Amino acid sequence: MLALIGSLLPEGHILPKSMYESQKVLRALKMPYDQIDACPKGCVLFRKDHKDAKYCPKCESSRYLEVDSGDGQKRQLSIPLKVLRYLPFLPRMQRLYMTEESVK
Amino acid sequence: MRWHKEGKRYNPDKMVHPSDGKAWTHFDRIHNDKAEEARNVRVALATDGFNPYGQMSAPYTCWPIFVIPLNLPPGILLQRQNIFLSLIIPGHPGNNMGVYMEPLIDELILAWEDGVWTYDRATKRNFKMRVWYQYSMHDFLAYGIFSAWCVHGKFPCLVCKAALRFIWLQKGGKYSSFDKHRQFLPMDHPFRQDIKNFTKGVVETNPPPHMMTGAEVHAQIDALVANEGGGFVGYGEQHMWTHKSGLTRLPYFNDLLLPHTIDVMHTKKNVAEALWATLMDIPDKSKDNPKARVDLAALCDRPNQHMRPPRGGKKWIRPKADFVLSRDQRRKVLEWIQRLMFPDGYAANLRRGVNLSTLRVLGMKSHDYHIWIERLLPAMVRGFVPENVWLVLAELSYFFRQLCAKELSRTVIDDLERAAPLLLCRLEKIFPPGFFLPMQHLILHLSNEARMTGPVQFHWCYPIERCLKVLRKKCRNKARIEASIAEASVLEEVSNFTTTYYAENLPSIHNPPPRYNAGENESNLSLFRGQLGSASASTTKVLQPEEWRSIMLYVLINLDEVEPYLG
Repeated sequence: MLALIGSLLPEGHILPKSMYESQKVLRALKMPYDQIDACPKGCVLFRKDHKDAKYCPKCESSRYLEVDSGDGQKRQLSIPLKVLRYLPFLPRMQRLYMTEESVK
Repeated sequence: MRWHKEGKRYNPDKMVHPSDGKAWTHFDRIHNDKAEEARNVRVALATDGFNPYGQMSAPYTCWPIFVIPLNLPPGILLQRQNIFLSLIIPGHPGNNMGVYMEPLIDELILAWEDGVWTYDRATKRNFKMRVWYQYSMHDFLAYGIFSAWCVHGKFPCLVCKAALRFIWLQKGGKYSSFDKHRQFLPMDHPFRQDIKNFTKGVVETNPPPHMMTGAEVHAQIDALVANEGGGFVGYGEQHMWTHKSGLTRLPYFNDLLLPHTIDVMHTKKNVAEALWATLMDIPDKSKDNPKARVDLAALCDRPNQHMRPPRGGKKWIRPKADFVLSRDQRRKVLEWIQRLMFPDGYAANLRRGVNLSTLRVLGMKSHDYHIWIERLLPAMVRGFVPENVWLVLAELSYFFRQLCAKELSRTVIDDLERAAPLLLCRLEKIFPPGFFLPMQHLILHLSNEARMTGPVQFHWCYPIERCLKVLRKKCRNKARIEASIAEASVLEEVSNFTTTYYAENLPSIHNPPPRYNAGENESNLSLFRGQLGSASASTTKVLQPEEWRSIMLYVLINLDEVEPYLG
């Protein structure tokens, strides 16, 4: 798609050659966000002390999707059941101070 | 980002920013060392749930939490690029709000105690930025979840808490704040002695209930004892605390005069909606229904409003109350609404929803109710209801109009604070007990909240609701709602950030084309030059001779080029 638009533009344009190239530019500008697994019933977040826990320390429900492994046992996959997304606000405040316009 | 301290206030009496509120200055006095640095940021939190699947009936809600820096000037404070999405909670948080808030609270505590080194572009130096929480804004239910107080039950008011016990309406099957506002009046007010117009035979002698301060609330939460099977001892009788709010972990929580604010938008919308339905006697929505009349018979001394037994037939008769418009009057009102015209951009087109056959207005939204109760209500019912009823309704309308002013005067706030309990008492004299839901009671607290946190426009939910609309549109993959919202928001932040570096004249989201067609008009004559772009495509019109003459006269009189030929 980008290649097609690029072919219509005059010589010397700076449009990225492919989606991959454009992602490379954006990657530096995008702010990271945390994905924190949560107990499906909302008892705890699997962070800090419970970072590596596989079952909720309070209600003992599974953190990951479980499938039948064939011998009557349950096997955990690596797909978390509930994910809380946290976009830290401090870097965003810091960014406000980086542009001349918003510092005023 | 230093406007709150250095921005110019043209009138010292008027509040134009949250920093003019009492809560802000009170906090500054206590934590003077941190407040001195103008670059330290105060933030507000905002929460609301929305259904990302649009109108589909999936019982799923997504709960974003927004962080809003309050240092910015009033004009751009609640613009979308300055409302940061911080937390996306999958599903309804319920009593686990404190758990989900953990990362956010941790960061707030870090930013308060240690601060973060930040590069300041204006001074070209690093400084230690501290961030703290100032207030939060939600609708009523989110407020309950956020502050960990259950709003269903006999203590629904989040400000009075357990100090105000609502009465149970037997027939209506709900709690009502009827006759709970006399105690807020001065001790010598004649309404307190009134045994006819409020609850029959009851004289009010109680002083106003004690409002808990932040420290008292904190102490109460800390003293809660957990039950065996979950919940706390005394729940539903002495208190309604459902869980321990994460915010109480903040070291400065006790110093916040008003940690949460009531949302004026939702309060006003719900009050106006109930009032509209009651005045227009809309079936199923009117608060003046047979059940309310039965409860009224039990509580009040208003015999002419009791339900009357059937004469011959099977149907009981509900005598017309004097605040309800008759069928003819309703028709006249709706015909009047059909002819209403507003200034451009002031209100939505109310005419569109008028339905004369069912005598309703369809599709009224919160902003329509906002306009209705502030501007239309007094004009609409004048002459149709008795003068004493009209006076109270007009006062209610005027109360909201003054409260929602862009620049809020401190003296006006004092007046409003005195007027609010009296206004509620006068409403109680007119409307049945079923009308007084928790929302109607909240009117009492709105003026105090405005005194604490400045003009209501900085803690009402219109900007937040608009943000939710934007987030809903970001849900591209219906199976991965939260992920697509997060990715799209991060991308939007990039575009917000980069466009600030664009040249002034380039079109961008910060520099949208004007709403009006303001194109230059190329004409040789001075009168027709200027920003006079046409509003729509041209149509042909044949002028009457008089019209033609008057237009010619106007042009000739006002045209500079004619001047030399005159006289």
